[in-house]
Amino acid sequence: MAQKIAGYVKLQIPAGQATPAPPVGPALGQHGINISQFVKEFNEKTASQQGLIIPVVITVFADRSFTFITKTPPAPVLIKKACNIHKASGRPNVEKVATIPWSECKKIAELKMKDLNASDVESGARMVAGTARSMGVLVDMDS
Amino acid sequence: MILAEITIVTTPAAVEVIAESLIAMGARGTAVQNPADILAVVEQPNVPYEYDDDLVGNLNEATLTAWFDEDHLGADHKQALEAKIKCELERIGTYIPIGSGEVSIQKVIQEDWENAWKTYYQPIIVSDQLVISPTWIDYNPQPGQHIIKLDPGGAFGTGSHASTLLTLELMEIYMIGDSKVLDLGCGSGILSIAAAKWGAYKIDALDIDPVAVETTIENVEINCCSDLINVQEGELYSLSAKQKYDFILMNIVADVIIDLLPIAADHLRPMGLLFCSGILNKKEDKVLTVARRSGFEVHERLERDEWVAFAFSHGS
Repeated sequence: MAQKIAGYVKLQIPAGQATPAPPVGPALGQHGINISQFVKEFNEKTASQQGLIIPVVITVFADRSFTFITKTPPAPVLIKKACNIHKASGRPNVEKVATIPWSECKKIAELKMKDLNASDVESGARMVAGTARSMGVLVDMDS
Repeated sequence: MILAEITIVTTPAAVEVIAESLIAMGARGTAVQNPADILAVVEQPNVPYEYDDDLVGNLNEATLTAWFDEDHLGADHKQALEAKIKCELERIGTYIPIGSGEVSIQKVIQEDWENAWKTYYQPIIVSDQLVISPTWIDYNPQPGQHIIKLDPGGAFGTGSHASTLLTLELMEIYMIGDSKVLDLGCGSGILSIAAAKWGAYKIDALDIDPVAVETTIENVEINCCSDLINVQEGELYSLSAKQKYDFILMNIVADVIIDLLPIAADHLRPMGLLFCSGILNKKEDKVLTVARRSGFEVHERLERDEWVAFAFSHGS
């Protein structure tokens, strides 16, 4: 079918737990797409990833039909998982909550490479390291 | 219920971190518009979408929207929330470039989102003989009028797009009963169902997208046409040389039509017609050049908005 893209949006939704509540309702409602069907399809597709927050990019076509692709979890979620912490520091410049090895930043960058606006893994890892520092996570450049 | 909708203009590098911070501050959810996301969609191989250039926008800018409960909207609360967000942006900005960091807050009414989208859909009167109606509306047809029951969803072809309407128009002009039809890129199945309503005795509906195949099967069942329509995941190249049709429907996009035109004639019966739609008028000449080179002649040309459709006949 002749699919002309009218808009797009990325949401972060717990796997298998999408509902019409925010962000799904207000973000997709303005495009006039079938929210119940999106919720059903997203939950079916991500049922096996329960417990993870899944970024999903929804593409809306000119006749209000849609398609979506799920992406890798957000960098802050992967950093918290790698450091085994539940939340970021409230005062990251003075209160450090964990240390992440540079090698782990590179692993996260590799995993997220197709979603990052980075030219190579090294620059992707530097973006991940910046995210880690903003969360009060120190970066150990020697490991 | 009323929600506070916060919009922040920032950079692709900072957008996820800011989203995470707003969730920690009590946001009920976030939505992001990052050009990298749509580029990843349109640059997928074998999925040619049409789109306007301004869809992608500035590659260095991303927009974040977050929703908070209404208790953040009182004058004091609103100022406090705005100040807290600006403070958070300043903090994040010491680690990651945050761009303009422009913040705006507005009020949105929480609707019954599960059903509100239905207001966008009403029966579409395609012609005196054909109406497309959502399943939740009990449309009362005029004598001689066919109804296609179709719920909009995850596959293209709700009936509201010019390219679909143009194909339906060509079908109504030329399609006679007792014909065999191939629907390439069937999407929602709307064209296959229309062919069944107009008396085709056999329709093969193909799509490379499994979601479209599943949606077509559902819609074919809703419209009680399962005995006439064979739905399969596949493409023109997967057909055997023996499979020939009176009508071939291609409501796809110009670039795919151009690829398929050289072999389409192999599957057309003598006197058969090929309907090509989904062609933006700026790509019309490219399609015509390849069509003529492949032995097709223009039998009919229709245009609506920026879209063009052709009925082609073949000289062989």
